[in-house]
Amino acid sequence: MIEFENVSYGYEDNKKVLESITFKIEDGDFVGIIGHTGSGKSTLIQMMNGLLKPDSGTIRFRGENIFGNGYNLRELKFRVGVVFQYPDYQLFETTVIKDVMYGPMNMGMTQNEAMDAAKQALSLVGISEDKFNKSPFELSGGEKKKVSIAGILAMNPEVLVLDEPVAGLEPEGRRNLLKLLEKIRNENHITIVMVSHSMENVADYCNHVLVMNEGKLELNGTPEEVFRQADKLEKMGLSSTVAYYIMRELEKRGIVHDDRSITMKEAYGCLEKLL
Amino acid sequence: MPFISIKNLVHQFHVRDMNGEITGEYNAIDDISMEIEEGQFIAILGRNGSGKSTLARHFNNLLFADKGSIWINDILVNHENEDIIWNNRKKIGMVFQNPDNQIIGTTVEEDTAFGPENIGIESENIITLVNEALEAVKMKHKSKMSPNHLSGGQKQKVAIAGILALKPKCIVLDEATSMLDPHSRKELMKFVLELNKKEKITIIMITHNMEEVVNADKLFIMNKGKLLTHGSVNEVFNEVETIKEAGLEIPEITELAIKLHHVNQNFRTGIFTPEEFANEFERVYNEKRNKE
Repeated sequence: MIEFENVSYGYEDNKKVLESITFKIEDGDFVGIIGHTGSGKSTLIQMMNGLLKPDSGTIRFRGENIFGNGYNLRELKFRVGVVFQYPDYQLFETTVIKDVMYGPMNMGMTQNEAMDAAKQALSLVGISEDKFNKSPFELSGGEKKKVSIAGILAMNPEVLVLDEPVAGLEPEGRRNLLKLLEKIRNENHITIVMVSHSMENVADYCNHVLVMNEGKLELNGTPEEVFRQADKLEKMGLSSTVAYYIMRELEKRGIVHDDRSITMKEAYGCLEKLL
Repeated sequence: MPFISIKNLVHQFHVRDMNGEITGEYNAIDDISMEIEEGQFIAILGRNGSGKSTLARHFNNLLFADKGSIWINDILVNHENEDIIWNNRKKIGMVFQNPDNQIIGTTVEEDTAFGPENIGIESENIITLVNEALEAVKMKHKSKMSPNHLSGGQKQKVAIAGILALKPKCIVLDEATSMLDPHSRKELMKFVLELNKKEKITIIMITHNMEEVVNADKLFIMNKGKLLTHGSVNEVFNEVETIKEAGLEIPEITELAIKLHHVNQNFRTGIFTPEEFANEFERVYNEKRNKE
């Protein structure tokens, strides 16, 4: 679906911001992107819908070069929606409903069509009708985030890209939002790409993990493949999941052998039988 | 004598309609009593709107009680007595959530000097205080820099330096780590813990992140303006239902230990690290083996 081939971009402190990045995202994936602040992950996601153009290399969407001659980049921005980290910078209309209608209207929908699309998107993210005419700034952090996601969903995208969607949210809001993304992926068949600081969230929800470090794509695989390389992650100043570390400690003590758990659910499944 | 003592504190907010007319009142803090000893590391936890930040603003006299009372070093806080208020604000400093909203100086050292200048300390002494404070937060090498060039974690350290320059007895951190990335968050927590252990500064952490408070001496959990429960980390972390009610989440590893405790009652709870977990698992596992 999305394909990066030898993508390089920019210079900062004599280093490339992105250096020769190659990967593929398949239709229906839930992708987690991990990396330190400044590792290039935000730059990477801004390229997915053509907001930034690479200095070299090729980016393809459904097989077509998005910077090729005659490619409809404007339309790509509706097909690949990006939700940024701070909803305050994305919300600007006077009411919630107008805010969510902005994108669809921009796409060329009529007022009525946009209203329908907005209502549908807001109900999908779980914003109730009594909030439609409120100012977006009266909402809680979690609600604002949901409204900014609804603003993208109302354009009926094929891919939803989110930069640290749960940052700054409380535990309940965090869990709600991740469950919502899972639902959007499973029921609405939208591919999800999520930048995250939480190894646990990525291990629990994603089926494909990209690990960025100093502008390079260091690891690319399933959560199991990535989180079993704890040494490499630690060298980048990252870590594996808590469940992984628990199982390694138990392996050292000769209690478990060849265990492949990386989530707490898997660890519990294995350990419960031993007690 | 406790350092801070709160007795039946009530703080009311007005509810206003669209025209700004007062239509009612609600208790943001609803009859809370608590005691904090000098030198302790205290955490106050709760979801947004639970009243934890309102409570925090009572500690350094930014807000005053509608009912009930607060005693600091055995002196009753009285909103009409400015001497008491200023004295308390010198003793108890506060770090807020957004690093950008509390930095005012054009250089790091200027920013740190703001507090001491404000309370009328002589310039020579200010220089010494600022240098010591910046050294303590390991930001001395950035003293001539503009705060704009600092990371979020560094800005919070400068904010703490500004407080340290006043030689405080207590620092209140109101969600001070919530906007930081995990790395800066850990570093700031490590530093705050050091201040508590080495300098004996009382720390009051306001947060919704339970992982940050596993080193605290005492936890208070708030919900809807009331104290839901309090106690040691071990005691509170075991109250799974109460924690859920408060909208909080215990660390995954602690939760796993509780689940295994339900499988085998010998498995102890209150576990916070993989090593601790593995030791306990090994113990219970061997015990079971020996019985069989």
